[in-house]
Amino acid sequence: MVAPLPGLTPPAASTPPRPGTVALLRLFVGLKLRLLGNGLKGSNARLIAGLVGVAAGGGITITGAYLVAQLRQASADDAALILTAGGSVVVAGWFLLPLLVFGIDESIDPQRFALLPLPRRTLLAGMLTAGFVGIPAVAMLVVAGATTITWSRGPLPVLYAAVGALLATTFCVVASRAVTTVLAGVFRSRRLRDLVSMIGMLLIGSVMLLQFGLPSVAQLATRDVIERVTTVLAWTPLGAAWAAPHDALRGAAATGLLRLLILAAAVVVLALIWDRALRYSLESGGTAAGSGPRAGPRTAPAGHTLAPRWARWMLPATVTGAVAARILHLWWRDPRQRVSLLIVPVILVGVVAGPSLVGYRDEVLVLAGPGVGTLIGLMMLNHTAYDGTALWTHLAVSLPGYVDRAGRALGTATWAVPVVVGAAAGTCLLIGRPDLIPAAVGASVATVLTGLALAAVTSVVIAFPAPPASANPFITPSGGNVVVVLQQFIGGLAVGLLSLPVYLTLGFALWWRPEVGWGLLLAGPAYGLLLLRVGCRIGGRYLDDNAPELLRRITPART
Amino acid sequence: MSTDSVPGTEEHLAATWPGAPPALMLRGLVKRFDRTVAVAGLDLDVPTGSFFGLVGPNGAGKTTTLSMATGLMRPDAGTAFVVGLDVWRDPVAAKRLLGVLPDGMALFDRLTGAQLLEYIGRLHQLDQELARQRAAELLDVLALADAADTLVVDYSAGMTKKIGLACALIHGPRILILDEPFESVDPVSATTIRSILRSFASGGGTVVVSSHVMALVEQLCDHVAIIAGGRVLASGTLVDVRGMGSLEERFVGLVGGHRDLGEGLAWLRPSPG
Repeated sequence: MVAPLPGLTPPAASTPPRPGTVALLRLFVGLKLRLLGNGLKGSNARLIAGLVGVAAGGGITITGAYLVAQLRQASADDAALILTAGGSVVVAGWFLLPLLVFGIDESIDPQRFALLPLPRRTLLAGMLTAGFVGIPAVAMLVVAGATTITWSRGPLPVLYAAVGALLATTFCVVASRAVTTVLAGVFRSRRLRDLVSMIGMLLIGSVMLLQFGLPSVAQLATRDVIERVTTVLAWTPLGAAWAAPHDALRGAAATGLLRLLILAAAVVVLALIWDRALRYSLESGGTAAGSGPRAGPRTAPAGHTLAPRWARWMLPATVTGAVAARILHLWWRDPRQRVSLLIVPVILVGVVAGPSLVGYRDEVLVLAGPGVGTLIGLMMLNHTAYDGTALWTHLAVSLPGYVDRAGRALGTATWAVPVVVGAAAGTCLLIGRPDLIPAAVGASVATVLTGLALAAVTSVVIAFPAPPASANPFITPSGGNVVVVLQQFIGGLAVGLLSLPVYLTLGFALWWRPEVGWGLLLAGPAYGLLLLRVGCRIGGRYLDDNAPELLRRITPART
Repeated sequence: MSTDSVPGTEEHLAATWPGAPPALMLRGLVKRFDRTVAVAGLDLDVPTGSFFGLVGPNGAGKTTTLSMATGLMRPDAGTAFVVGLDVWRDPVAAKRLLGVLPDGMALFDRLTGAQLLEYIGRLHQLDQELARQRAAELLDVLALADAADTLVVDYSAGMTKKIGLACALIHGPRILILDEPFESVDPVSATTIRSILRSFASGGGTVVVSSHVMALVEQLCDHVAIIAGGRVLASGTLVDVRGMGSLEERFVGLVGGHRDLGEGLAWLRPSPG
């Protein structure tokens, strides 16, 4: 008989009884509700934002449900067409939603439950139930439920519509959860996070550019085309739920049932994917962001010396040159800036190469070069904040403000000036007007320097915290308020005003006297350099006087 | 400054001059954030050549104090002197003597380790070649040579601390001010860092470290100050401050807040026997 060793017997008697599944689900729902409620607390701004969100959600729900119900008046074919097309878009939106709001809805983050003694199934069920609690899911359920009114033309269509609405909502909730969980795994590696945030930013950029092309797309979308597309969609989980009641109505109940089964199978498959992603996420130990799998010593060294070889002749071996070299690296290595960099060729191709390929060759295209120059300046308006708290190193050596400003301008000009000069000259050759080259080149250099001049001032005077380098591009942390937007707008306006003389002279040369261009070639860069000098001086003095305060201002608020 | 030698080989310039100003002198530092007072009129003298430990509970104002002493945060009142130079009146001369490693602040992490060190060296107006040479030497000593061409953003927490220390050392400072230099550093790296700091101090340099690990401070430092509520509760040589007991006992006695468990948490004891 071995005496029980103290310390080895588990505390058996004191374990509280395990709650049942229903109680756990209730706990999850309660947690989600509590989190939603607490999300409104804290500051008035958050409360107002939350209330606006609730109002918008309510408005969309009521409007959507009303419109869907109104389709009862339409012919069955029309109703099926509209519901399938619109419904598919909404369901697809649920896949994109977690991408757009990634980082906002971490309310029920599986990682936080990793240490609790919960079976994964229970966790899954709990998270699914909690997923139904929230404005988007409720809105979806209500609007989808309204299709029962649309199809109240017989018992079977109503039944199909009701089942379809439930299945579709479940599908949407599971989809958004699955995407979030998969992404959470992806986002653990810095490289992938950089990539995802860059793709996101590029998407936003191209959507903005696409707006100009939308009218032509709208012309393509005839009823015939839409019908063909919806016929396909009706067999996918996106549109199945919306087409099934129509099948029931026109006597093809078996077809409708098949569609519902497809949707049900899709729900199961998605749930399995989610389950696997969840297991992976729980078992990989929840490593903190940033310390993910490292590439180790890379085959292609990222550079041993500070200044890249090709730019060495531009960057002097001074302190200013050192700052410039770092800024030059950032344009490629910081995903936020790499996107800005990549947008430049996209715009040049879209605005200059595209039109001229289809035969549009007007002098007006020459404006592209200076336009890109101004754009580069606008990208720099809040440039200092990209350094974040790392700016302390400049404070710790009392780096003169003028050197800081001049280095940043030089680093950007190192790539920006050759690019705009090349673009300007190339445009002139493309439209067959080599006589405009001096004017275009002079104006482009002038606008780049003007933009940099103003950015030298604005990026310290009206700086605000920038989103972290690998963050969700759709979120501007703490400070995305009205004042900031207004200040940036004024900054942009000032860039425009200061560049106005350049554009006026360019217009003068384009449409009246091309020989004025030679004057612009000399006077433009001189004007820009003068402004840049003044800008660096003003911005530098402000930085000298207010560096510690600036450091605090651009430090992202901890949440 | 570029003529200074690498830390460790520095001559005993400022060892013990009679009547010389202390390495670091804080006078009447005050900092308020909104309604809370983080630092409430703090005075502190760090003698030249000492290895000085700054201890205090969480929220005691250690980081705020060090930020104000190094010119990263403007004090509401009071100022700091580095060898008699006012950090806020004569920042360039004062900061040239300082090597700083703040806690919880980023580095320019989109540079590689070698590039970051060259950058910091050149900010200190070192010659480009000299900066590269010292960068390579520091990377080697800190066992970071393999990661010299990896972006700092991909470093582990311990490697980031080490590269931060290298940044503080590259210009050959006279005084090192390190906020929590041993946090999240593995034991091997910690030993390396300790030996670097010891050789720096034995070469006549002054080291100020903040920490809440009492054992480490006791083992490493010859002077300590206990800070709580934004004030200095005790300051002096290690022997004077801790008296008869251990530093931890003295610390808990001064700061207070320790609660005897008594019969609380009885259910936590695994077995009744």
